[in-house]
Amino acid sequence: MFTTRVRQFAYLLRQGIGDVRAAGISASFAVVSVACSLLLLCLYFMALGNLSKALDSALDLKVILYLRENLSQEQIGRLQKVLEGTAEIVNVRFISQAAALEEFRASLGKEAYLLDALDSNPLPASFELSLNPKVKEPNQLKPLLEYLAKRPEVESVQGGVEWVERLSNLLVAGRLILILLGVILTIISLVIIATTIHLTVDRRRDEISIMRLVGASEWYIRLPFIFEGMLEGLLGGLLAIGLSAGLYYAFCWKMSPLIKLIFGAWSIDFLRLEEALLILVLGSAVGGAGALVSLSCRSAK
Amino acid sequence: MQSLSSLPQAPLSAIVQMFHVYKTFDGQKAALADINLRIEPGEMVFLVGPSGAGKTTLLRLIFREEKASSGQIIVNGKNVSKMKDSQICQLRRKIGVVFQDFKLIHSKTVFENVAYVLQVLGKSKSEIGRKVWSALRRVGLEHKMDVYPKRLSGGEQQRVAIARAVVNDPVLLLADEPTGNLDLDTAREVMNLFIDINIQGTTVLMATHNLRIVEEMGKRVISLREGKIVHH
Repeated sequence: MFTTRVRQFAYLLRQGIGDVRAAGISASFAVVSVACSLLLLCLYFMALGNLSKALDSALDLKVILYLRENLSQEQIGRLQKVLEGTAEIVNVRFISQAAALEEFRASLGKEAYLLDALDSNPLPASFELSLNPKVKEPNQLKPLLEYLAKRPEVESVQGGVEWVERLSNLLVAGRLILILLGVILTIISLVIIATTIHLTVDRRRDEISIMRLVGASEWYIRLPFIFEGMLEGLLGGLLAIGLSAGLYYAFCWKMSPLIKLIFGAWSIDFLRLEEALLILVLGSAVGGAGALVSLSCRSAK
Repeated sequence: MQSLSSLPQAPLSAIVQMFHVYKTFDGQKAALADINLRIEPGEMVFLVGPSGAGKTTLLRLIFREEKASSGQIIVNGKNVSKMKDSQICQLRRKIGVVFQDFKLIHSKTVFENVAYVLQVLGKSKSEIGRKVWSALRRVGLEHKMDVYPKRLSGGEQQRVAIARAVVNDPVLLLADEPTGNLDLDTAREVMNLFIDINIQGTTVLMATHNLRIVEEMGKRVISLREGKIVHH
C-alpha cells in the first residue's frame, strides 16, 4: 500500500512538472508575478533586518552631556552620581575641558597647530554615556534624556534619540506599506496562477474525463495541478531571491563608499537563510492556493 | 419507489441488476422509464434501439456517469444508486468502457494510453509493462506500442481503447456504439475482439444500432424504444 502510494505520488509529481513545461508562457507569467510579490517581501526582510541592525547600532552610540561653564567639582560629582545610578546608563566617563582639548588636538593630527592660536579653551567639559544594550526603544530613552537635558548642570545633550526615533517610525511605516503592497501583489499572483491552472485544466479536459472514467479519484486528478501551482510559486520564490541578490549587490557596489563614510565599518546584510526558506515556502503556498482556487471554482460550476 | 427489500429476491451473482430504474433530465420526458434487467456473469448482451432510445443513458447509469432519478442499480454486488463520489472511482476500476469516439489521449503513445489505467492504480513499472503488453497482444497491436493514436486507423484506435478497457481485467465491459465510426469489415474485426474477450470470461454489454452485426452474433438482445425495454 505504501509503495503504491509512493509510486502514485511520484507519477503525479512528474505530471505536475510536465504541466509546467507544457504551460509555457502562461507558466512564465505566473512565475514572474509570484516573483514580483515575493521580491517585495525579500526587500522587506532585508530592509527590516538592516534597519533593526542600524537601530541597535544607533543605540550603541554614545550620548554626550555637555556641561555648563564654571561648574564646581561638587556639582560635577553630584551629576556623576546621578548618571551612574541610572539603570539605562552602563558607563559614565567624565571628560574635563583640558582632556577634551587634548582629544580634539589628537584628532586634528597635522593641523593641531591651529589650536595654538586659541587664547582660551572653548571646549566644554562633558560626560560621555554608554547606554544599556537592553534598552532598544526610543520611547525608553527619550524620557531619560529629556530629564538630563533639564538638569541645571547640563548645557546640551548630543545623542541619537531623534535619529533613532525617526528610524523607528520609518521602520513601522515601512513595515505597514510593505505588508499592504505584499498582500495586494500576493492576491494578484494567486489570481494569475489560478488562471494558468485554469488554462491547463482546459487543455487537459479530455484527459481528465478519461482519468475519471478509469477510476482516478478527485484528489488524484487534482494533485498534478496543485503541484503545478506549487512549482510555479517555488520558481517565483527562487526568481525573487535571485533578483534580490542582484539588487543587493548593485546597491552595495554603488553605495558602499557612502555607507562607509556614514557608518564606518557597518555593512548591509542580505537575507538570512531562514528568511530565504520562508520566501520559498510562501511562494509554494501561494502557488498551491492559486491552484486550489481554480479547481474549486471549476468544481462549483 | 420500492425499497430494495421488497423487490423480488434474485441470486446475488448477477453482474448488473436494475430494478424500476427511471432517469429524467431537467423535468422533461423520461430518458429511461421503469427499466428492469439482469445480466449474468459471462454473458454478452446487446442493447439495441434507435437513436434517442436511451441506450447510452442506460450504460452511463451503470458506471455512474449519470445518477438514476429513481430505482436501484446493483453492479457487481454494489448499489450504484447510493454510492458516494469516493466509491465511484472504486467501481470504475472494475468496469471497462469503450466509446464510439475511442477517447484516446493523443499526446500519449499506444502503450501510455493503455498503461494509464494501471498508473492510476499505482502498479509497479514491471507489472504495467507485463499487463499492457498482454492487453495489446490480445487486440493484435503489440507491435505498435510506441505509435501515437493519430497515426493509427479508426479500427486500430478502437482496439487500443479496448485494450485500455480490459488491461485491468474488469468484471464488466461496457461498449457504447464501438463500431459506429468504422466500416463494416473493421466493425466485424472489432466485434470478434469483443467475442474473444467475452469467451475469456468478461461480461460484455454493448449498445449498438448495427442490427446486422447483432443478428450475426446470435447473442442476447435487449431492445429499447423511447426509454423503455420493448424486447428482452
